Amino acid sequence: MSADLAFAPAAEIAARVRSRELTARQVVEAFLERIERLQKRLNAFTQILSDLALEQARGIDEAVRAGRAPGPLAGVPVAVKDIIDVAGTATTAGSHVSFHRQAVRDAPVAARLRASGAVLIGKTNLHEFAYGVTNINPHYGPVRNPWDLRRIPGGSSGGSAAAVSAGLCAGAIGTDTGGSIRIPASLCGVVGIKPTYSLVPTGGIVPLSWSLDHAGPFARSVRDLALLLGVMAGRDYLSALEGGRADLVGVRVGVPRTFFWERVDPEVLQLTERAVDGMRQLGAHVVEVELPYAAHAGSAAAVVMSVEATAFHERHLRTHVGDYGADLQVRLLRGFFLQGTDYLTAMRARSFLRQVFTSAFERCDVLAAPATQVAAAAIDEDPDSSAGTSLAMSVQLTRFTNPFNVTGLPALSLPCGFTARGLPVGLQLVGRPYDEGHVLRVGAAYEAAAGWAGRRPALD
Amino acid sequence: MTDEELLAAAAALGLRLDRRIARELAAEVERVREAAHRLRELPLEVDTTPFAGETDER
Repeated sequence: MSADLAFAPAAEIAARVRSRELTARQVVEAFLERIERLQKRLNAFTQILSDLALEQARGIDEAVRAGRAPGPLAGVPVAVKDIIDVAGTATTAGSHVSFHRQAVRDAPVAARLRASGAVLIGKTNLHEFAYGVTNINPHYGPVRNPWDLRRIPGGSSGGSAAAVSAGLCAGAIGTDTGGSIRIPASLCGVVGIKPTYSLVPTGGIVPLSWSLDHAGPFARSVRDLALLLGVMAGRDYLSALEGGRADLVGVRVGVPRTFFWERVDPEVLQLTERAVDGMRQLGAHVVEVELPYAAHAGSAAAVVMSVEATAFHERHLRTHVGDYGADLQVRLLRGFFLQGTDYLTAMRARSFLRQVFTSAFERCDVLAAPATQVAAAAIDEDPDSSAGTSLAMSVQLTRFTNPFNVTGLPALSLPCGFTARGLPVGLQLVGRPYDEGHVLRVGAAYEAAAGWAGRRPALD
Repeated sequence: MTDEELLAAAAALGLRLDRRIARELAAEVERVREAAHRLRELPLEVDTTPFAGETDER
């Protein structure tokens, strides 16, 4: 397949399929060939859905030939995190085979994509049960970062981010409970959004923590991300981008220096500072804002996630604890040692923090901060240290992301540069509840001016 | 909490723990308990409910 098709925008692929310049079958065969070639190096997929994808492509081509509207994502290959049900396939959750379930119907989010013409080309590898950020998976092996195969892609939706980054699909779906879309988007140099809590349905998705779980898309550009999110949420986010201004005149960008800009690696700090300067040059009014008690958000996330995840897994933990990887055992067992009062205090803290964070938007329209403190770290597969590394990295990498799971606010990560080692760094933009349109518009304006979206990892 | 205390607490809960993870689990239990403790420092109003959330529409 030509690199041009592998990295073509989703909207362009769909337009070429609708105009019969390409058939959906040609698109799918080309992407399957590329997946076949790169899967061994990246390990981005747990399952490659060749037959299912070709069958979907046949249906789309028939619709085009018959003059029926094939949908806004006609023939666009989309990968699905293997925690989301796709009818006729196993949902593995990246776990031991004793947990796998055979999906008889699509999760609503997968059904919406399929109905829009997207071709579900594969299920992507993840941190076991989406509970961790390294994507070092004891059952399926580690996902490798396309920018440096010795490094982690971030997680837990690391396979989805790596697949998009490497041109193995035009977009992908992930879930985000503490940062699992934005962290791998940042570390793999792609765009990802955790929408407002409940905007995208989470039915048919293996839960990690019900009150913190979000589903959202990955893409290589903000425009494609808007297209995918619109389909997933049943809303239109493209019109605002197409009709909107290219500059940021009149937009107030809030910079929460305390907590969100602290303890950041110097290179990451420099790149995100430059991104804020770039937004200022586009006409944005940059203001410093305070988010009091932000440091407590991580505490609330830790307590809520620990209790909810343990509740979901309790029965299996009591009978088959050895089926979980070492880091999962620690994460899941710790929930047994918290009390009901701890959980309800954490939930009350969330209500409080939601009010505190929302009031910051009286002074600004979006918040800007680094998505992560550091760029991608090396893969640690040493059985003596891997679990400890995994636990420590979760605390580090979710520091700037989990406050927005706790508060449910929409948060976008998009590339804002590369370190001297060539590793991507992500800028996080956060908006008011249900203000994804504004967040995407600001992201699109910065992306167009900065020009990072055109960079590709050297895999060919 | 020492490894032995943790193993005893786990046994009381009916959990069979692998000794190899006891140390890391003890550290994690300590960490999340400290997190729960820190949340009690927040100036929560008496009418702050755990159930109402402006963005929770599910």
